Amino acid sequence: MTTETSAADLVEVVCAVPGVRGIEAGIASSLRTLDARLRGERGRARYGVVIDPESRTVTAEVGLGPGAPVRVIVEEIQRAVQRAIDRSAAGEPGEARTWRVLVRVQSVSGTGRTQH
Amino acid sequence: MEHPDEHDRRGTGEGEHVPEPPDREPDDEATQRYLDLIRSVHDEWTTLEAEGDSSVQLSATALSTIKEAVRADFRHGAHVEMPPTAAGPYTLSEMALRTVVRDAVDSVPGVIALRTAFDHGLPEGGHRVRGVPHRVRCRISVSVDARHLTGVADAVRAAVLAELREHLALTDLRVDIHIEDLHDD
Repeated sequence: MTTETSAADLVEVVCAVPGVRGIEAGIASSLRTLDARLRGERGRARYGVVIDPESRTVTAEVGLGPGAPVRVIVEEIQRAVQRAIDRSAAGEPGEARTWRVLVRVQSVSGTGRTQH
Repeated sequence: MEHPDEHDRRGTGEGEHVPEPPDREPDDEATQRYLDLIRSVHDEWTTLEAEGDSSVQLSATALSTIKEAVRADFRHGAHVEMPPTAAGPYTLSEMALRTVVRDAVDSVPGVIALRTAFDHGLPEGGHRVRGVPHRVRCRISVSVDARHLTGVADAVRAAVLAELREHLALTDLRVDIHIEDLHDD
């Protein structure tokens, strides 16, 4: 996985999933973003999207809009990120599938059921 | 009689339960402003990097993002583990979980959600994460026109169970309903 460029790419990937209202960063990922940038590892983190090569984990923090069930949107995000990892890991067979994609749903803007 | 719109929808629940849930509409507006801010700082850094500038660039926007991230964390509360999807693990903030439950409660005619609290199992990972919920406590207001309060409580319970099963695959939950108030429609 080419972590030098992937964090910004993954922001686009996550935001393109239907039902995603936007990236909603927590304070931990915001500070990790600044830390990564100070260390010259800017590709590893964007506010709300963190790539951790040591634990081989991608964390995405999102706000969801109304629509499909929450877990369906979450699974779409996980699969979209995994596909992006697979693409960037071309030439590194056997590595891509070992990444874990953790989605943290920060907010849900209604589930569309309220009648009054 | 206190109108539910004036009722304090904030609440701590009992004992170990969730922290104060802020009102829904201000939450939603604050969330939208924060999402816009994050989008803005992403665009700013992408532009700077395209110009060959990879410095930290603690612009007013970047500094504001840190401040807003602190506020957002307070709004969100702790994160709660959910049964994983087929593609991996995920968590929901307490605020998001309350939104799902409140939507279910509010979907029952004549019912308004007041406070929602959860009991959790032991978390599998992380000291700032709560375990999968196994009990939900809903405090509600019911229309004075309701004839059968037991039936209303059963309808709310069924709606909450269905919503949590559909959205989060949460099953084997106990849902306690407490009618705390009556209101005029």
